[in-house]
This record gives sequence, C-alpha cells and structure tokens, in this order.
Amino acid sequence: MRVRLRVLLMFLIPALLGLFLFKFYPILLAAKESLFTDSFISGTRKFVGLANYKLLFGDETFLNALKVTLWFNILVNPLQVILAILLALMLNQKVRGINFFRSLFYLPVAIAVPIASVIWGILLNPNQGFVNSFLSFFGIPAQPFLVNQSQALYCIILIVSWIGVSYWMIYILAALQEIPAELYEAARVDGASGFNVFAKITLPLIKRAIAFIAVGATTSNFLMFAPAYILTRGGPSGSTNLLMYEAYMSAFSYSDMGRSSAIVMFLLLIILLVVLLEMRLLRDNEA
Amino acid sequence: MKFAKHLSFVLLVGIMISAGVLFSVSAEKTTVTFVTLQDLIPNLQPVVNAYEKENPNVNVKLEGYPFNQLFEVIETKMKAHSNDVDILNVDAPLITNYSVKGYLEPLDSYFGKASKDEFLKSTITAASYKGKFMAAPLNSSSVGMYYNVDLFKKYGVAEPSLNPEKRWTWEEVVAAAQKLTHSSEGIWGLAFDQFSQPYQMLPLAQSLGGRGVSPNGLKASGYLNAKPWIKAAQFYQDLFQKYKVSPLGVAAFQSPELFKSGKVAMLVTGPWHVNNFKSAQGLHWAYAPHPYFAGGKAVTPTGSWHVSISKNSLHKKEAADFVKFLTLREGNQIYFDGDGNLPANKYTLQYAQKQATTQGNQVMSLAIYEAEHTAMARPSTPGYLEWETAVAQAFEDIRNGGDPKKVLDKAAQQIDLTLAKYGR
Repeated sequence: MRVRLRVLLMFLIPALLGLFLFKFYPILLAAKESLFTDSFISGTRKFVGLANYKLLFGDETFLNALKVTLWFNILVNPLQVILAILLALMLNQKVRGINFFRSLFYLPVAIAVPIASVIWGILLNPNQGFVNSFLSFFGIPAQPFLVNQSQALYCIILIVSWIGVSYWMIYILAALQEIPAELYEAARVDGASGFNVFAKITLPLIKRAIAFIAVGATTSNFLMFAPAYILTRGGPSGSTNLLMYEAYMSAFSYSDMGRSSAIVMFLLLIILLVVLLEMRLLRDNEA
Repeated sequence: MKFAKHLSFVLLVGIMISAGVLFSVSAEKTTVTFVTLQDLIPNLQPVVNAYEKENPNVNVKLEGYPFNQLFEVIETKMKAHSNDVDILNVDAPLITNYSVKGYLEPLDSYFGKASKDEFLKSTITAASYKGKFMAAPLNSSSVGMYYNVDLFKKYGVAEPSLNPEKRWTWEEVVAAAQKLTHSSEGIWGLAFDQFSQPYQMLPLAQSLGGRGVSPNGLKASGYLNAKPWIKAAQFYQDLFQKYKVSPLGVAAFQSPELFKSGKVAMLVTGPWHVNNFKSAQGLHWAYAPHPYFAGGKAVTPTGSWHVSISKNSLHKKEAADFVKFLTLREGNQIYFDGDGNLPANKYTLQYAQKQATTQGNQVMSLAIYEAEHTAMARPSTPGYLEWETAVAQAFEDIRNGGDPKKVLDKAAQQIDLTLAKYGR
C-alpha cells in the first residue's frame, strides 16, 4: 500500500508542483498585494490591511463593474450550456455527412477570443460593417452595436458564445455517444415519448458532462477580458466594464496594484461560490 | 605526413584564433532597446541607421507598439523592473508621472549645460522633475485642420481662411461640415485624428476657459466637470448625434486613412501627417488654422514625445549617447525630415523655418505661428496617465450618446479617487 502511495505521489508531484507554482503561488501573491498600497510621496509600500477591499464598496466604478460582470454571467453561462446541449443533440443524429457538420460547428473553437473579437469588431462596425449591410436588405435600419450602451454587452455575449457553445458542445457530444443504444431501444419498446426519453434517459446520463461544462463556462466567463479590452474598452458608459478589465486598468493604467489585487481576490471568491453552488445543484445523486 | 600534421595544427589554431576574434567582436557589440510608438519607427529608422554607421559597436533595436498599448507596455515592463528596455518614448505630460514612480534615469550627467540650452525653454520645463532633467525632447507638436479642396469645390462650400487671424470658429466648421457630409456616399464633413483623446479634446474646453485639474494637480472635480468642459463635451457629442457630421465607430488614429481616401472633408490633426498626405495620389488638400469657439479664444495643443532612459537599463551610457544623437543636431534633423512635426530644439527649428520660407512649407509656418501664439500645455499632474485614460473613456462615452454632465461628473470623481494616492 505504501509503495503504491509512493508511486502515486511520484506521478502526482510534477503536476502538483506546476499547480502550486502557476496557480496557488500567484493567488498568494495577489492576496498579499491586496493588503498593501503604494505611497508615491515616500516611495514606499504601506500595509493597509483590508482598506483596499473597504474602498471597493464605496467605489461606483467597481460596483458598476460588479453589476455588469454578474449580469453578463447570469446571461452567458446558461445560454452557452443550453445551446451546447441543443447543438450536441442535433449533431448526435446518425445522418449522412454528419461528420462534416460536426467539424463545421467546431471550427470557431480554432479561433482565439482576441482574434474573434477583432473579426466581429469589423463585422459589427456601425458604418461599414457587414451585419448592418445584411440588415439593410431586410429594411432594418443600421444598428450601433458596440458603440451603444444598451447593445454592447449583448454583442459581446454573442461573440463569446459563438466560440464557447462550439467548444462545450464537444463534451456533451462525447457524453451522448457514451449512452448505450440499448437504453433507447428499451424505451422505444416501452413506447416512451421523445421528451420522456430525453428527460429520463439522456439528461441524467449527461448530467456529469453538464456539471463540467457549467463549471468550465463559469470560470472562463467570469475571467473574460479580451472583448472588453479590444472592442469596447469597458464602454460605452461602463456597460461592458467586466471585473477582469477593471482589475487590468487599475493595475496598468491607474497604477493601483493594491486595488487591482483586491478586485482579483474578490472575483476569485465569487467564482468559488458560484462553482460550489453549481456543483451542488448538478450533483449526481446516484454517484 | 609530418608536414600534413603541422599544417592541420596551424589551420586549427588559425580557425580558433579567427573564431575568437569574431566572437570577441560580436560580444563587444552592445544592443540598446528603444521602446517606442509603432508609427514613429519609419522616422526613427534612418536616425538609427546613421547612428549605427558612426558607432558600429552599438546596435539600436526599435520595439514599436500602437498608441494605447505603448503606455500599458511601459507600465508593465517598468513595474516588473525589467532591464530589457534601455530607451523609452515618453509623452510630455507623463514625465512627472514616470519620474514619481521612479521609472526614469536623470539625464543631467549625460547632457551638459550647452546641450540642454539647445532645447526650447518650454520643452525643457516639461522635461524636468524636481530640478532634474528627466527626458530629452524629441519634437514638439501643433494641430491645424486639413481639408479636401476637391470636396469643398464639388459641394460648393467656401474654403476656410488660411490666415490665423481669420480662423474659422467651430460654429462655422459645423455649418460647412453639414453641407459636406453625404453619408450615403460614405463622406463625412469632419473628423478628429485622435477621436476622444485628451490631446485633441483639451483645446475645445481650453478655448472656453476650461482647466483639466486643480493647480496642485490632485483634483479633477470642479474642473473637469465645470461649465467649459460640459459645453465642449456637448459640442463634441452633437457632431455625432445631432449634426451627424462625424462618424461613430471609427477609433482614434484611423481617420487620417479616411481623409487620404477622400472620405473626410475636414480633418483636425497636425504636421506629422504632411508627408503621409503628400504621398496620397489625387488628394488635393490645404491646411487651415485650428478652429475656436465664437466668444472663446484660439487654443492649440502642444507638447509631444520626449526620450528617456530606463532606471533599470544595463547600458545607460550607450543609451544616453544615442538619445543625444537623436535629439540634437544631425540626428534630430534626420528625424525631422521624416516626421515633419514641430521641432523642440533651436537648431532643428532654424532648419524647419528655413524650409518653411524657401520651400513654401505653409504647414510648418502655421505650426510655428501657433506655437508662438496659441499653444497651451496639457494639465500638469503626477497622475496624468490616470487622468488621460479616464478623460479619453469619458469622451468616448459622450461621443456614443452619454449625458455630458453625468459622464464628466463620474469621470472627475473617478480621477479624484485615483489621484489621491499621489497626495499620501
């Protein structure tokens, strides 16, 4: 048993070391940094305890960024999970040429979020953008998209979902293909309706995959940065000012590493809470 | 056999010696890295070539970044105490900010009094922090209004006066822009080169008597959200939302390309585009003085790039030698030939004035006039980077329809919070 443990540890140590160096150590550094502030007059760093956190709750810009981030995630995470499931169900059909469609829908994943942001920025340009030219065919007036306070966040949701849905779909598709065909055959023999088959067989058997993509989508979307940086710079009027972008601005434009680290730590706490909640809701009762 | 052995021994020693000589030569060559604005590289490269010809043991590596990213890259590298930057471009109002943060090496020991005296006094003042010379001025700047002569003729609009005493008001500019805008053909009446950027937004408010920050540079409330700024911001918004003479969705620094392709009738920008527009085939343009508000005063932007040495550089001596070459005499004149912007030192200015008279360089004549009569510096605050970022964002929000007063109130409040750290 001891030897087995030693072997296990030997395999685990490189991964654990990487995890500590590249994940936990930066978190510890950020936690430490969030307790300090720079004094530009004396040129020193001062320990301020939780003052950076306290200041955040009286800071309108931060509160707005928090609101924007929560609203963005409330919309984007369920949207990506539901669309990924629907797309996977569609692509799980056994029809001629399905592999071509699977590849086609997986294609956006090959495009990095920053590049997708640039492409969509061109497509959504209010003056010369393709989307407005397309809308004008149907007599729909030109839309401002990313330069409008009430449209910009939804445009970003669409852009990140364009990639996200395709990516998460693959996991659901893999889970769907794991379901034994006999279960469906038995259900068909028993005369179960299409909805019943989905609700009683498919859904419970892909629940673990759903839990995985829910957690994955939540963490990546809470940490979303590129579209706000590349397309809108947090605007118009702070309507796309996601917390990660605010943390970045705080560190590299406003020279306030303490505030930036406090935002990052706060974001980490929110992600942790939301992920715990998701894991609880999607817990596999039979496991 | 013995001879062959001797020969191979001699050859081997020979190869080793030549390899050693080659290695020592390449090892002696020092590389200094210059972090700069991407757009300046075509003007800097000829200076680097001339310098490297005179100094074969120094290699100057130009590392260019787009405008917005340049400041973020500098912040990131300097905060990390990185020594892969030796020389950096610093915008005039940021010299105090970078000096307070300890990013820059004072240049006093490299520039003697005689060298410093070659720079124009105003640029030396901007380059000093606590009596120390922190950045050598590369050039100064000025802004006017380029206009497309053919579009004015096509739509039957009277051209603006080129005489600074009879310059157009913004109200006259808007009236002309309305006649010149034909959005169905993709033609816009008016554009700013640096849409929403404080460098070009400031003169709007300053023309109405506005100030960006308090005299101690630590407060924006009561200044940035005062009446002149609100009026200037309202005017700026009306260009896009009410009069619809300027395009939405065109980022800063993109509009000169629209002007070049005949899609913009009037473009507010500076002499640094002269060579760019001269090279555009079929573009007939003229350069009018910077407009002002009726009842206000004529104000033009000034101040531009300086060159500093990083505190963490491992090659300060070599870096200083290149900075001197670039900002004084021969090197600065080579730079001026490519850049065309208002010079910051006396010798290059004489050179430019000579060109202005002998070659009829009207853009340079006007730039020199504005520098002497209407130029107004940007706000002096240790937190200029924070101020500039927040003001640019505020004007972008106003451009896209945000309420000018509310947006400026919020920006002023945010700036106050970020500037507080410089007072503690």
